[in-house]
Amino acid sequence: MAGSLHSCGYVNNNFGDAKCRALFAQGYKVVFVPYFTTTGTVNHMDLTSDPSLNSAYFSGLVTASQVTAWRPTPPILDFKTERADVVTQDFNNGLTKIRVSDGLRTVAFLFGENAPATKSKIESMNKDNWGFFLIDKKGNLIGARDSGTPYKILEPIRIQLGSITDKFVFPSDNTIQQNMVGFTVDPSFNDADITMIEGTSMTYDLRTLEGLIDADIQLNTAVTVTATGFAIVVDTLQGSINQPILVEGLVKADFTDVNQTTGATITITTVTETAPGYYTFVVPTMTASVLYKISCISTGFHINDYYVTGV
Amino acid sequence: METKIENVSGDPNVIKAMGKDAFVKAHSHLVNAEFVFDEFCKLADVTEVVKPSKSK
Repeated sequence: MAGSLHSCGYVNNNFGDAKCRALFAQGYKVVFVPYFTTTGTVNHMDLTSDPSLNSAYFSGLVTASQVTAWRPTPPILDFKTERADVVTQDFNNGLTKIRVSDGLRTVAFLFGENAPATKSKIESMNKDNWGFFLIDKKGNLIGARDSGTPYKILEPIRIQLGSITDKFVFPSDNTIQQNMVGFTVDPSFNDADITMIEGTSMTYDLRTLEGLIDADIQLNTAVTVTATGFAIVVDTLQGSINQPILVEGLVKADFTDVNQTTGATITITTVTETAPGYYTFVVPTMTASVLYKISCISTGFHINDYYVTGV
Repeated sequence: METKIENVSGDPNVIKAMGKDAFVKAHSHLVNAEFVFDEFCKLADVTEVVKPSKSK
């Protein structure tokens, strides 16, 4: 019997159409996610246990540890993604053109009437590996198929490290204030792996998914720090200098106070909201020069820690 | 247990244990610290009074 070579170019290239194929709609929201987990695996959605795709499931993804949590954006405008022309090598005979690689895929969209502070949030993602899912106007969740174990695994589409840009645009006579966001999809990504979880398979309208509001704890310098007290504000940085947008209604139970030298958790005596968003703390006597970490957890917000130095 | 009285949030038992004078002194930012202290004390756990036994 004559020998033959393995036929790798004759597999999976038939063109019959299945019925009810999954089709995408226009982009509605982007969900940025850290691309890797803490163990180095891809930060994917695993549906092999058939979880209920309901409000609790998706809000859990948003409120998870910041190391892997989803960051849904507000509704986006002018979403556009293009794949540049294929890179080919031409040869001197003028007849032969051989494919080298796909061109780069770029993604661009706008945030309308968005705070300038968004620029630093967007561009901070250049410091690490990020990916994204796309929520389209029909509520479908678009991502990538895992080529190794494709069954019921949806991966984020990987963003090329360092490629994310945000251009803040002042309003003009006929344009609104906006942030123009753009990035490049990682060159390793194959468009053939784009897939989705259909909105009709969920019991939750993914288009309503909202991200956490970032806020910073800042010292209220109008009140002097004493050995037994200090005052803070919790600022979203989305307001103006003289009219900040503060987080209001926080209570003592929302805060923790930890001595950074001993690691001991301090029992805060009282927290008084002296004005909406302005909080005065009374604490047991602090040790001079010791750092105390003030943390705050409140539903719907991601609040950064603040360190008070004992006096 | 935490309670909020006139925008002051705290544990009534902790506040009661602090004592009124110390609480008032530490809460100079309040308009009526004495009133707030009294209101918190009303919500603190009642301390059981143990009467000494009498020998016959």
